[in-house]
Amino acid sequence: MIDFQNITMLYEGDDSAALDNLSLKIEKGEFVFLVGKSGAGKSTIIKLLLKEITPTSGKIFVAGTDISSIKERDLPYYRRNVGIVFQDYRLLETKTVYENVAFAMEAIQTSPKTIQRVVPKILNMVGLRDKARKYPSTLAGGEQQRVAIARSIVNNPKILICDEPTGNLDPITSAGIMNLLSDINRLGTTVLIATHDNTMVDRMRKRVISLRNGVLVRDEIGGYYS
Amino acid sequence: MKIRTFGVFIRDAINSIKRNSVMSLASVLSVICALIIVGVVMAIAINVNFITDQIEENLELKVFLENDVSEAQKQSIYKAINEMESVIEVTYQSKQEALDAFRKTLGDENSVLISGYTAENSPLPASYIVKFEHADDIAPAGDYLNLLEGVREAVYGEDTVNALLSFNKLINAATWIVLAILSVIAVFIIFNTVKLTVFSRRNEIGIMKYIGATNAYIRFPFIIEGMLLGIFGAGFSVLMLRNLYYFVVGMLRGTTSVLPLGESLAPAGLVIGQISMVFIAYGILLGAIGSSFSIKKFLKV
Repeated sequence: MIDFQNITMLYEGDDSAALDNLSLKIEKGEFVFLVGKSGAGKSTIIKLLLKEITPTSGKIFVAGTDISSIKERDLPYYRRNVGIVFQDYRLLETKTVYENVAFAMEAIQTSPKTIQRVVPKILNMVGLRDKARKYPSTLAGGEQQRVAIARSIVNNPKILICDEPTGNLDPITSAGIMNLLSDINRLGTTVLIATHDNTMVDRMRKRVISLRNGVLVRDEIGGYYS
Repeated sequence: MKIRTFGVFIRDAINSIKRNSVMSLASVLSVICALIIVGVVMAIAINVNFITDQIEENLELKVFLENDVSEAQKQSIYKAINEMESVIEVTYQSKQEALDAFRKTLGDENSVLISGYTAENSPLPASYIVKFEHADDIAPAGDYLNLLEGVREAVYGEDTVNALLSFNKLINAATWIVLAILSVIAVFIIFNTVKLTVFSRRNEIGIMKYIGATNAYIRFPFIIEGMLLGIFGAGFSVLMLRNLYYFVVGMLRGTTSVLPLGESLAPAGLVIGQISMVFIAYGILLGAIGSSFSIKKFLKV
């Protein structure tokens, strides 16, 4: 599903590479943690996958396509395959929970009928059916993150990327979010989570890719440090 | 683009104009000011064109013939006139007719002044009166006919024609310059207003980019907002110009000036009709350009 081939990323003005000749492969349907300190290269990997930036050298394949060959004009269509969840949720405060999720479908011009059918289902799945009419500011952090997750999967992406999804949440709420992501993964979506929440990583016992200074230092199933 | 989507865009645009009501009002007012100045210049230009057309229609070349002109010479002069391209009409005025016409001009009281004259001894020559389609053609035609045998003199309102033509050119150039300068100002004003909206919705735009909305989809509501601002500005300025024009025409009609200027101005319907069509199209264009500049930066995510 995701295939990084000898990726080097050197930001303009920086002396050392953010990613140094990194190769990694993630298969379809995998659940992967991306760990490492800040500056290790996690964010760079996410930005590369979203095609916000282009690597200095190397090739990235997503679902068999070399993403450097995607034209600017076709970028929106590529992004529809990649759902993204941020640490700070990034919900629209002026829209209700329902509208925040529906908005994602409107933005890619889904028919109102489909929207009305799908949004309640997704809200049900993330456990927010009875909060549909509420505004984000009235929700707890974990609930807001569930809205963000609902929004990111409502268009059925092949890959779901989460950037520190539990960074602002307490351990119990975090566990709930992880279980939700695990459920989503079980339905077939490839899930990639960048985090330094080691308790969470230890508990899940999934594949862990560990980075240090842009180099892959460990890639195995297990805990954060093990 | 689906009609339903379009409806959503219009609703979004109206909402955001309401949300930024003060700034929107300011930009509509600025557009009105800019367009009124353009409109005044345009009204002047339309009138100058209108008056030029009228004068052009009445412009004629008088080809006075020698008293001893032969029939053959007359024929060749007539032929030469008829061969010119933009000639609309040629009429021959005999010495008798010239005398009669002059007598009529003098009126009953004064006709005694020329009472002794007959067609034979009249000082008024026979002539060809030639009407042209374009004022520009009169001068070269006159110069040419002056060279022919049997022509005493070919005369036309040389100064009037030239002054009119150069004034017409000047006013047209002025219109374009004013239009260009004020367009830039109006675009800039709309650009700034829509940029406020874009800025207040930058999170939304960012999320849309991540979700995979196309640039066209993201851009459209803002373009519509700009267009609406342009249309409002254009509509109001047309209304104000209409009242202003009626006022000015009415004022000129009331004056007892030697020149019946009020009468010879272009009718208000014509002026306002032309201005409003240009303005609406122009307002839409200004709005679209202004707003597309304002969103450009935010689309790069």
